[in-house]
Amino acid sequence: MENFKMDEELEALSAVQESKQEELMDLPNVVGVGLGHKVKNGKESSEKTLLVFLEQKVEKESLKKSEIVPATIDKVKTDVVEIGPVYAQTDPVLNNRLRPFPAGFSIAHYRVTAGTAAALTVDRSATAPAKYYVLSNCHVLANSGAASINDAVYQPGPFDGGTSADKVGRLSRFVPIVFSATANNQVDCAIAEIDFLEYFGGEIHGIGYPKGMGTVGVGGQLQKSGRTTGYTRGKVIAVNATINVGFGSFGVARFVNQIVTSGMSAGGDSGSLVLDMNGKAVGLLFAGSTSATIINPISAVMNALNIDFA
Amino acid sequence: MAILGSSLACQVNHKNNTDMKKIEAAVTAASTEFMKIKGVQGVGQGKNKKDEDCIVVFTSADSASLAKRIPDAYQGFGVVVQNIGEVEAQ
Repeated sequence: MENFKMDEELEALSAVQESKQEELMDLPNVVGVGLGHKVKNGKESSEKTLLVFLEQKVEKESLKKSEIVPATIDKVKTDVVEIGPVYAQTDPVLNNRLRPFPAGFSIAHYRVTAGTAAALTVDRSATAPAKYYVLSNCHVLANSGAASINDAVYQPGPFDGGTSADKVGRLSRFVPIVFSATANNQVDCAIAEIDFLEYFGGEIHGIGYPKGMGTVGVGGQLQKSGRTTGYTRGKVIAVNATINVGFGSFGVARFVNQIVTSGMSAGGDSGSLVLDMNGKAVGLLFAGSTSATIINPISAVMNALNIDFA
Repeated sequence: MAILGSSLACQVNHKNNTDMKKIEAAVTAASTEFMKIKGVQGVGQGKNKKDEDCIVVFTSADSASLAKRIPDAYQGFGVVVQNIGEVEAQ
């Protein structure tokens, strides 16, 4: 306990905690025990207490008397705090194979390294039975335009070990990128039809389903879940941006009407759906530097591919 | 590639349309002019510290000689230079 600043009062609480901890942890729903301040009427008070963390608060009536956390233990007051289930926060495993795989996970054309699956989409004029597509970048699903329609798409992408056994769909359409510093590219996007709907859940890992489309303003905070850096947030630095983007051996392509945020991505995050903090989609991540991320506005992406979120 | 009707600019809230058109026109002109300078990778519409519309010039290197070639103001709007390093598809 030497890492914590303790006064006499807390030392006494700590002694009680040590002697009763095992008993408390055996109670249903209890996921942890600690020392802290009692919360009164939603506000933290200065009163020191033994905190008992519950996965979920339940009605006392549904518990046996022996299963209820006592209000006091050895003259020490307790406070119960609902914190939900607790998981080890290991690095996300977004480069793994998963079925169904969520958006945010690794995906790529069979000749590309790896990018990120953005969202589950359908044709705008879709009639049942609809075709379902995974959205990502042209440089992820269509090898920057060097691919052929119906080429295989793997989850995870080849760099993450994906092989023909991991095929989840085939390239349906893409918007070609014009590799020129005078071009007016607006989007780097493509869709692949999913072979079986059971392959792709469409829920974004750590975020949930997109709640339609939102707008973006300078200074606004955005979020994404991607193959390499997992869940991150960034702040909008500029809109309406014209920017030259390097595509390796394909050359440089100029993009217009782009969103620039503080750095929220790294190689392999391309294709991540970018959302505002209300869960509304605002863009498709496709490029970046060490300190900035470049995003296509989502309305341009959806219009160019003539798709809607499923 | 198809030119798309709905540009991001239409989604940004502005005090009025005149202001919006002025900054948009300035950003467009600035992108043509400043992107000719070696080391300038991009130009966009941002906000300065006073929360006023400004032109943001993105550079690939933190260079004093490069910064000297970019004016402090352009067509009535402040210009902010931000070095972001090389931009690559990710």
